[in-house]
Amino acid sequence: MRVTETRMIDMVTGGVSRAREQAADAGQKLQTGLKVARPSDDASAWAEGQRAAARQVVSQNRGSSIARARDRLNEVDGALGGVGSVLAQVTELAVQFGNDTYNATDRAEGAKVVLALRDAALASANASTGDGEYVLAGTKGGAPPFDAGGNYVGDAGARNIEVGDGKNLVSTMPGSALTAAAGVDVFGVIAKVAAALDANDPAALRASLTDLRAATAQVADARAEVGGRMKALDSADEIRQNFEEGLASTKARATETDPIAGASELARASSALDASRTVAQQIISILRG
Amino acid sequence: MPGLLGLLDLGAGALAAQNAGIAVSGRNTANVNTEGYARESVTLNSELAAPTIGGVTASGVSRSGSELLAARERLVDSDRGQSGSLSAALLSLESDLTPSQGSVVDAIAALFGGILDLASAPFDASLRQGVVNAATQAGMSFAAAAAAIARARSDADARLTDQTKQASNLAAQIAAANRALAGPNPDPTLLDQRDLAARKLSAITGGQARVDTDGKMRFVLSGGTVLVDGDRAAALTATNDAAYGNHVRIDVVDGGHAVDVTRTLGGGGMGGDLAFRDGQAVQAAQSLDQLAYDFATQVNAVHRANAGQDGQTGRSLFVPPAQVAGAAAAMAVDPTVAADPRKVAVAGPGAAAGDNAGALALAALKDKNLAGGGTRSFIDEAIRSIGAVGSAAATAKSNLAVAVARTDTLASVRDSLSGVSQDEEMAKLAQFQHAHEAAAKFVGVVNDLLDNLMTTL
Repeated sequence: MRVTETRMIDMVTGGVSRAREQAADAGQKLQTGLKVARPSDDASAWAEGQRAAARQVVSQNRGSSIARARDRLNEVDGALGGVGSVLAQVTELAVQFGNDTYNATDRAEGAKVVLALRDAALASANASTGDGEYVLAGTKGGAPPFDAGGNYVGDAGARNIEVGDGKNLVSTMPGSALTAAAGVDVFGVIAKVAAALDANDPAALRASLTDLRAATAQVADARAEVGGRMKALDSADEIRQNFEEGLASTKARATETDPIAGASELARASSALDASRTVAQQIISILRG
Repeated sequence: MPGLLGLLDLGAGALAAQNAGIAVSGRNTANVNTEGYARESVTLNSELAAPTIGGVTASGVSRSGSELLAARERLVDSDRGQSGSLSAALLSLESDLTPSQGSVVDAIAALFGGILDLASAPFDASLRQGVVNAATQAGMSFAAAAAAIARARSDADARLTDQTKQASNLAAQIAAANRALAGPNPDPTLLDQRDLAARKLSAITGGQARVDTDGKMRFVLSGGTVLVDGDRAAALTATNDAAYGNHVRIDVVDGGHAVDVTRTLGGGGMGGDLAFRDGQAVQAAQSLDQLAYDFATQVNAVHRANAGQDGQTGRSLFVPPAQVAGAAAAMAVDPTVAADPRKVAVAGPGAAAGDNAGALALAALKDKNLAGGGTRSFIDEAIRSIGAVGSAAATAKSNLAVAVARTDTLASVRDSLSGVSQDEEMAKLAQFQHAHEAAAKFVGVVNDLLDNLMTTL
């Protein structure tokens, strides 16, 4: 075939241009770390990467949700712990003042202490979070769940959160766990102790110990349930983190450049560019001669 | 036998013939870098010897062109023009639809994520504001994508308008060349210029040229409308037309007669731009609008069924779309909810404010096949919709690579046939120079003989 000088120069410049384009492409992949940046690079790999990235976003938000729910259950645990601590102190006082060595004046003073402890327990049960939600109010978190008389005005509603695809977990504990609906009325029991002390009635005091023990066990059970829910959330979060790592791997496999393969591709493209430049120089030199 | 004066004529003829060869080689060398130039060669004819000794004459200059090759090149130029403009437009749109942050896919995922977050703390004002912000961002992403598609279609209009002007100029050049070639002693380079203009016109319009028996080139668009007929060239015009959605209509105007060729231009840069503007871009806009409509409608249905922090139901999260067309561009958060995030429906109907059944129901929409005619989730449909633009871009890019390779192959064939080789021209120049020197020597000898004869006489 007859080849003119102009065509040779066209072919040489075309070859160098293509080699430079390939080197630039390989360099960009290595620099950005992406082998698939747009759907036109590889539509199915791009779609896989996008799907994984979108699921990562959802998973990260599930993670925040789980962490927040865990913090709230921790606060519930603290609130129940406060009530449990009061119950322990009230039980000690009931045992102490049930002894016949105490007189009416001593028991009246004891009643004042028990009422103060009851107020502390109420304050603990009416604990709220930074966003103003009362943690033991069920779904009526906008107002304190226990009134001044210790009556529960919240509800028994519990909140679920999504922890995985199609998987929800309970993330709250309503204050109904401290009411007669769950066994005994915890604040009612404390009030009874205060009333028995005020009435200087050692027999009633001794009788209240049974209710106090039941109330203590009820609070302990509630705390155990809270602990169980926290553990379930922890397990779900572990699964979520593993799932998220899997998504990151999927995304990386689909769209990211393997550094070694990328460096190797760049080296190959650079060598090809050098070779095409050398050929171009030789051809130009031949044409000059 | 010829006389000495006859020999002088023979020498003079030889000098003239070699001069013509030198001139043609010089012209070839001078045009070595001229686009579309086909090398020429002088035709030398030996004169008949009878009744006297014959000489040589330069009977003409021939051009090394091939109409078959030129027709193939125009065909490939048409394909190259079409896939070039289509791939450029699609790649540009693809880039606009896949920003590094804030794409439609990202925005939908972020909204569902924000709702999941809020489900864990319905009283948290910052999380409620976060959901409103994510919904606002989703609206902005849809609107930005719709605007990008509309802008890409307008850009195609601008390119089409430019191309009509270029095509009209080229058609006029072909007609002018036809006119000049029909005249006495036409310059062969007019053929090169006409071929080059026809190639450029094919690359722009996708039309094809043929040379009729009278030697005149006729250029016909893919729908059969004649653009150049002999000395007469029609013009292409671009006019905004409501029938094309206020995009440009392409007409072939010949005198007072105009033919709408918008839907029949099937190749070249204009064909590519029209295919993009009225094909892929329209499909992308329709997919996006349908997705925006389905997304806003389904989210609103769940949002209306659930309650805000005030216990009230019946509010939409997004301004309800009136129709599918334009749903993406118009997508925005309902102003009532935007002004007061407490109205985001997190609670179930009739439930207290700390309930999150509404948020869970909204979040559950992410996994349901409510888009793409009930076949895909919203995120999958957004990925498919944007991916379709990318796939079309990849196909157009691949077609362009094929067309470039074919162009390259034909360029080699054309070069082999009609390209100017400097080496060859230098060799020919030397050949003609030596022949010229020999002829001059011959004339000198005959002149000496004449001098001798005159002296003797």
